[in-house]
Amino acid sequence: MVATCREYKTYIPRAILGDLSQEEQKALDQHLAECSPCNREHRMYSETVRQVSAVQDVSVPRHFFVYPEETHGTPWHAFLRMSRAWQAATASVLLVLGFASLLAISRLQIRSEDGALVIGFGRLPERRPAAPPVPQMDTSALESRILKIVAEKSRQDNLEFLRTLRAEMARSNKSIGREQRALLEQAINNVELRMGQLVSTTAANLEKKTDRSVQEAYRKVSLERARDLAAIDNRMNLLAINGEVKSTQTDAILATLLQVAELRMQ
Amino acid sequence: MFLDQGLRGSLSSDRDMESDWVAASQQGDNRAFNRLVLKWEKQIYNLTLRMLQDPGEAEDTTQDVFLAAFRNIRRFRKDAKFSTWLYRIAVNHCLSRLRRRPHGIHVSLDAEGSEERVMSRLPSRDSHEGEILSEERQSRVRAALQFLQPEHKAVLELKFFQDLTFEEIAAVVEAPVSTIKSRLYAGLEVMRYRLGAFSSDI
Repeated sequence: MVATCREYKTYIPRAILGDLSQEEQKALDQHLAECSPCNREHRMYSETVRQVSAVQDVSVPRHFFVYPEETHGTPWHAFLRMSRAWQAATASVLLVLGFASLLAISRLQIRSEDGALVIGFGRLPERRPAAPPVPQMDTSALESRILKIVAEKSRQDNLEFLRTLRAEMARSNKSIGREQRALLEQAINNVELRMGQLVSTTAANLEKKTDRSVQEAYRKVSLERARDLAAIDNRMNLLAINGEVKSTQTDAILATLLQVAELRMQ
Repeated sequence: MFLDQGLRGSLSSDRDMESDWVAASQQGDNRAFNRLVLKWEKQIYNLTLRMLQDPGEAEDTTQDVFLAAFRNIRRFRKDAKFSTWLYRIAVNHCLSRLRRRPHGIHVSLDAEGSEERVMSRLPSRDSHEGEILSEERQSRVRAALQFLQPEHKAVLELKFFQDLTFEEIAAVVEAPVSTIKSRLYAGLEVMRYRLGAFSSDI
């Protein structure tokens, strides 16, 4: 094997690290014996490696123990500690959640309705059907004029009902015992009286224009009306059960009973 | 220190223990992991110290390395050597710190000057079986290391100071053996040049 000095120089570091084949090593040894520059180069490499290898380790300035409170790290570290399967599961759950929230945000609609914010997803529901007459009364924003009309209307309705009730009573006069009739008339009178109270208290409260007092009055009066109606209902039922009403008049009585029941449900 | 040495000796004498500790660490047992720390901290600290040339930074980095190792220990596959895996974490930590240094240089600022200062602050060296170089010569070697490219320095460190084989270094650095060898020769060339003036009288 014939090689130049330049080639042997590439052998030298490899020789130092024991990375030459036997043949190469032999050729280099031969060359080093003859060539003093290469020999010097070799010695310098050897010395370099000797010096580098002789650098000693220092002792540690402290121990580098790991303590439990440090072991958790950030959520990201927790994620890294999971097995691959758990990582896949967590990642897919997060993806789905992220997608769902994106979808939700894209469908989110906010609209101002009667001064209040209405938040909904997708198509907003149509405005709720108009509240029954009772809740309408509690809006102080409404003019007292309108409230009065509403109150008057409900009074008219009740009076109308009472009139039909009285008419029925008159028609079934003969079939109902005197005692029973007296009780019924008293009950109906009670309803009428309370109705009058309702109108007067409502009117008084409307003067004050306070939401709560109107509500309170309505609640109180309607409670009493319900009680009165319940009394009428009860008595009518008794009449029907006891057979004091003639069969031809039963239908009228039943119709009235139904009306009373409907009024109670309001 | 005496107790420390004795413990360290008995720990490293038992190779099978290491895989037990690794297994326990993978179950979240940090006491078992701290046994691994005790076994390897000296090597890792000296590696980071030579790579970074800054005792404070080396200390921080060593702690980071062990924390990272513990946090990721479940990722460690038992068919590999624990030390290879640990060296890889340590080398990567050092390389990323070196790359972050200003001006993209891998030489610590004012290498010669700071070297003297750094070494005077270092704790006393452990006694060593082999030849003991004078303090001055050791300093020169350390200073010369600063002129190596970070990747070359890492290979030199693993070869000369951690006594790994080419194959082990290849596993740590995750590069082919041929690349490892060429980095090693390039690094050695720089070292020979840097130490040349000093060794020319031989």
